[in-house]
Amino acid sequence: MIETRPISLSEVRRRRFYVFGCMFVATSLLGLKWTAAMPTEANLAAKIIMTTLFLLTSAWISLFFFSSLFGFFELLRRRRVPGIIWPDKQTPLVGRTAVLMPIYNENPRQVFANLLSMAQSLLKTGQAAHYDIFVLSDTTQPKTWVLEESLWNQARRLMPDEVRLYYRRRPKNVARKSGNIEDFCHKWGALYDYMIVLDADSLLDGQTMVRMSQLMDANHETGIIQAPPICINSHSLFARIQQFAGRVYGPIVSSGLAYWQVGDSNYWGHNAIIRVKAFIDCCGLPVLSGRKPFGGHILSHDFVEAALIRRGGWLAWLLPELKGSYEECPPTMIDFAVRDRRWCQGNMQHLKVLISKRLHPISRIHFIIGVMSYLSSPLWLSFLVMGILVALGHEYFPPDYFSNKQSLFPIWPIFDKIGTIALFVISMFMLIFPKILGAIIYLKDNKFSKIGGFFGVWKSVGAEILFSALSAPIMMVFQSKFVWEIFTGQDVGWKTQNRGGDTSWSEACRRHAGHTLLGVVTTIVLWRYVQPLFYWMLPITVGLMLSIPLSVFSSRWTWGATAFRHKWFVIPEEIDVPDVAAAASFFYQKLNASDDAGVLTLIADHYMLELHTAMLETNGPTPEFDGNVSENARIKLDNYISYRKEPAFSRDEETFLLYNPEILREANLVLNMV
Amino acid sequence: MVKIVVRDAKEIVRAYLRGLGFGKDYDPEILMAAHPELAEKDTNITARLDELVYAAAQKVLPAQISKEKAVALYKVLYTEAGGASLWKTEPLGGAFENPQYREAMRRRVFDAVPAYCYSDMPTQVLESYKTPLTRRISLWWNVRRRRKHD
Repeated sequence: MIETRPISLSEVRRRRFYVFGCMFVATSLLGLKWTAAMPTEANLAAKIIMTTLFLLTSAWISLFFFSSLFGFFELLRRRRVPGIIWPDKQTPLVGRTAVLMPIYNENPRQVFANLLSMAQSLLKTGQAAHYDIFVLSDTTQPKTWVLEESLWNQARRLMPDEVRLYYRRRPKNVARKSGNIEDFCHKWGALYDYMIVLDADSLLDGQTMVRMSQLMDANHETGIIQAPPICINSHSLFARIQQFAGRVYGPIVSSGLAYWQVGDSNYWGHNAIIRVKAFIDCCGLPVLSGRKPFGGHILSHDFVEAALIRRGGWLAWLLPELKGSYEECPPTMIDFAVRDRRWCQGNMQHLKVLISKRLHPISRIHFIIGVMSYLSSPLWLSFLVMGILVALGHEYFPPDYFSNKQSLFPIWPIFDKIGTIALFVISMFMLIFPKILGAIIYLKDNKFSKIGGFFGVWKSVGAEILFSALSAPIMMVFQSKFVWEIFTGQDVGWKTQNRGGDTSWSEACRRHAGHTLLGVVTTIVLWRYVQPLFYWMLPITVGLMLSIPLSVFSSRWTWGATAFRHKWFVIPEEIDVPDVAAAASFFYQKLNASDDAGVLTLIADHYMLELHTAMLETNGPTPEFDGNVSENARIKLDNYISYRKEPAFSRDEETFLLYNPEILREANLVLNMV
Repeated sequence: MVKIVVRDAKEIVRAYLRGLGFGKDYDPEILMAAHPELAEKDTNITARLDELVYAAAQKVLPAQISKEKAVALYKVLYTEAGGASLWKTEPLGGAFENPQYREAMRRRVFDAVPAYCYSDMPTQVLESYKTPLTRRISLWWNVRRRRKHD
């Protein structure tokens, strides 16, 4: 049976009118209240700047609030996203799907364990034969490269016969992830109808993958379907809080986005299925003119690809109905910030794409939302700084009660305290209320037992709000710094995301010293000179002053485990572990990842050496190496063979040897004769 | 460069055969008897052994594989099939015909990637709207960057 709920263009427009109309009205009302509540003694320039900043931040909060509100009602009514055809679950697949796992110096053991578990899950659907899996490696660390080959070899034997597991490595990671996918499309894209793009920590249930392919089969004009991922497998307290927030509030946010975006949705870079033809025709990304960070290869390619696919006339869907889509959260606040730095640069680069011709208006809104996710922090910071300056000005330049203007009465400075409190309360309500709505959805579905019980949920929601309030100013300063760095032309490069490990005190002190100092200085200044503002600013200054312990303690796995034991931040996937996640843990244990010595593994193990040699051709042409690199590599290897002197290869030296198996074979032969 | 201190040809052959899954103590006499050139003074033993392996590989592997890959792949497959204990060095040279061997080797042939099937992915044009404001911002930004660079 085929299910569908048609939607007309006028209804789509009406939905957008509701969300953006509400946003506009709320921002206007807040703006009016703000202009009335603003201190009257501030000069005109300060008033204009503060009002502009206030309007921008209010618009941002209002959009989030109303989008979530509409999402809540959609979930309440259990309405499916309209306009897309839902085929019967038993429908046999027509098209072939490639599952792509682009990796870059990631933990290969986890990558292959996840892929094995997804393949097993696919097998249960009976439609596994329609899928091939590709590990597209951009790894530059030689030891990780050898380990990837070893694990690929183990994993391909554990794979079900129906699913093929391929592996290829690019010698140079040109254009990073987008270049990696583009390389796949160029070489093998024509063999497949669809591709499911994953991230190194992605996990998709087999049924979800089949459902995505069925949807593609049934909706010929669809270019992208995004399955919103849920964070799982978190251990540190920080990650568990993020995971809880995503699980409880995420559904209404996704539903809200799907409500007004409908077929013009976005692509988040992973856990999505893409029509290969649409991608090949529309998504060859250009290199942006100018220097980095705005010029060069497009960093956050996903938004741009969605915009280009939409520009090509294909539809893009975000479907919150698709369950069984998982990812992992950054384990610590610092890792979260490091990821943010990368995303921030990528999103700021979109400023250049935003004004491109022929883009769909909603695609432009996606870009603006992305930019505002980071730009809102410096706006907020500027707003606070302006507020403090105005207050300081009030202290040092007392109001002129009797100005030159002739008047019967002195001019009293007016500060509408009640109005300011009302604005603060309304802003807080708009930020916090969607979180409560998220928890209410669980109440409605009687699923509280799956997220820590009735009291467990509310105490977790309360604690999450408190933690968000404390960490928000830290992230504000982090993001403001990132935006500053980007606008002053500092490039971030592309580092591998850390997916485990506590934050040490020394690391926290190094990263958060500035935050702490800012918090302490602001507190002292406010206490000494502007006492009324001192209390207003406490939620911000306390967060900044506590940044170091907050970062350290929230990174601890032990704290995360203790929280779980006491039913804090519990998510349903921790009570009923999804089969695909349990299988991933099983395969993680099963895979042997001890061959991590790079070149030394190969010269000691004939089998691995020959396997590496056999796979070398698929990497493409051997890159050129500097003469010194090859010479030093040979000398170090010679010393190892002759004197067993542990070689300290540089990355280039080891890579050179890996590209020259004849040298390794010689070394292997000599070792065997000793 | 790695220096190979040669004691005798037998030692080299034995070490080489380990790459095919033979044990440390395997006596390579049979192979050397079948291929006396391996014991000759001027023979490049490893190159000759590679030739023998390649000849064996050509009989069981698909034709389009390069020599280097074929030799490496054959060694992998032979090790996986437990060839050292099943067929010793018999497949290396001579007319070794054994259906079980052929089947065991062919069944294990793998590809790291499928055959290429190229598509052209045209680079998209992202042409910006040129309004007086964007033009001015762009000019300001470029001048600023150039000054900084200079």
